[in-house]
Amino acid sequence: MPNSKLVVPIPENEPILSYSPGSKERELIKKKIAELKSEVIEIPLIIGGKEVQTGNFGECRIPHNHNYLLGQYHKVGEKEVKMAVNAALKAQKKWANMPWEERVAIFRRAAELLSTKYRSLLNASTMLSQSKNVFQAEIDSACELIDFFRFNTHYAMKIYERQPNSAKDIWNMTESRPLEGFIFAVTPFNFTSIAGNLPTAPAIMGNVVLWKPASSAVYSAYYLMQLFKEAGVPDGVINFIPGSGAQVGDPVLADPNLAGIHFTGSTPTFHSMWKTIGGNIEKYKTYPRIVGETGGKDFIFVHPSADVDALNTAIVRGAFEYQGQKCSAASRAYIPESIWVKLKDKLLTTIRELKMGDVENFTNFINAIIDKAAFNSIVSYIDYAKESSEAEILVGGGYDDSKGYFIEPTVIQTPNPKFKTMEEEIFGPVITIYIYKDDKYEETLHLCDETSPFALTGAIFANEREAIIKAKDILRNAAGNFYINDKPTGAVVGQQPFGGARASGTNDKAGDIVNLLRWVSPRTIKENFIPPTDYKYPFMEEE
Amino acid sequence: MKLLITKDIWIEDVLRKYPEAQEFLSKKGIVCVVCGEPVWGSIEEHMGEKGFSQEEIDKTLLELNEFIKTAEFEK
Repeated sequence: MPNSKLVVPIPENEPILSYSPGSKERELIKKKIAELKSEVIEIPLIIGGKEVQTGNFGECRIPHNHNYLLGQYHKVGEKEVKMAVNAALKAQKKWANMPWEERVAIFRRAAELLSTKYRSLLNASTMLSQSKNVFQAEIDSACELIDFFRFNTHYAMKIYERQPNSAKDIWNMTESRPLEGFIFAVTPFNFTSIAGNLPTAPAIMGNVVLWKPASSAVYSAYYLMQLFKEAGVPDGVINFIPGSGAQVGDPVLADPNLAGIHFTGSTPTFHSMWKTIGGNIEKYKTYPRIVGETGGKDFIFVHPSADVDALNTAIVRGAFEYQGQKCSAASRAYIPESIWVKLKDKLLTTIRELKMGDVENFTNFINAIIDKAAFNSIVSYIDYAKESSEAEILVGGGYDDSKGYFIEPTVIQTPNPKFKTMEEEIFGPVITIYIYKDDKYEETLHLCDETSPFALTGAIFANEREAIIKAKDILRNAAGNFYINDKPTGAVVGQQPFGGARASGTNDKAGDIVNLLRWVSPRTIKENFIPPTDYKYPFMEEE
Repeated sequence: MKLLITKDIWIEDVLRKYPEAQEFLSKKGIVCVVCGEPVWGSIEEHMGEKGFSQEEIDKTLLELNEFIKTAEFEK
């Protein structure tokens, strides 16, 4: 609207539905799961709004029942990557020139569609293709993604309203331009919300996007594309190009129009992309913005004053929800002897109670690992611990991939604080515990800080304020998201902006204004109402 | 000898076709799966980044092919 100054309302977080027995949402999700399982779908590439088939197929299977095929997807090749770049560039000018409030309206509509019509579809597809129980799907593919849309559109307005000061006879302005070129969004399997956020955050700011979803989560990603289309995202603004990482990445990163990457995934892949961009730096029309969130070796650190029951729940939820396949999942804990004697039996008893199995049985807390390769990777760490004289498996340690990729929630205890599973990211339902002497609190905090190259999330459990102050100080750079008496997972958009530094990423907090600022290139404009007409300054006048 | 896995093949494709390769490569210190996903790039590129010489890459690849053939035969 040319004659209005619009305000995007201050958003609220989407309420989490309970899915308790007898609830409407429980009935709807069960129906949707049955509907999705009743057919095998074929998933095309979507380039410039058109469906493209390559005939080179990948498969979408249910991780907890891997004989069950949900769909087959066409994999992109070099030719289609070029088509996607061209389609994005073709859509660029019109999208960038669209009034910002119109773009915002599209993504606010996406939020409302996801909150209603698409909620059960996105949750059911996430449950089936990524093996999430209904609660984990609800907080991810529904609530968090709705929050991303609502908060990002609000922050977009905040960016556009930021303007410089002006003197009396001039008017200074800042135009927050979209970047010149396209953004390459590369999304992980473990959060449908991140899959939705990485292409849309730059798009909200007027950018065009090539989107490569994780090969193990193409199924739910395809339904996200349907949501975007119905919300009104124009053809070519987000181009959907699933395929092998390097097959997509190599030609995309070599394109002179690459203006940025928005990545969540592994540290080695992020390093590789960054190096490739560095090697190509002279080819690009503009310096690509590199935004990435990678791994974590997230910790729970315990002081002797901690509450044992709260700690017990935090370890169980923080380490084992979604089978530990969260970047933020707790995978190492430092516990003082005095707490361990009170905690050990309670913790092991709780873990033995956790039910594991199919997502359609709502009493299951644990479901399956995403695929065979990830299963093998986690198992190799468990086997390493079993064979080591420096480790003891206190609970769990079992695994079975005959029907689905199931691994028991596993607790390893080690007397070596630098043991392999204390240092390396496992990305599975495995936590390693190191017991320290009560009088070594400060020394062990330093150990925690120096053990891993990562710095994503971490938690301190303590009731003594001085202990909390000390932990906050010593662990200042050990985590981008630091929790006091809470588990290190479950960051909420608008409340705990998420991201870490060191090897964990560029810390450009997803779902926060600092992230959106990476997708604009400000232009400063000065208009002089009364331009000077004489080149001479007063100091030059004769006395 | 015709190789099932050549050095220019992408790690993602190796793991999809021969998931057991992950175990072999992991024991050689070559981590192929991080954050639950295969790392990008070919076996040769990835081993090169880990400091393997060309000779070591060729030797490891031959061993990997033998390992896969045995595993396939046992299936």
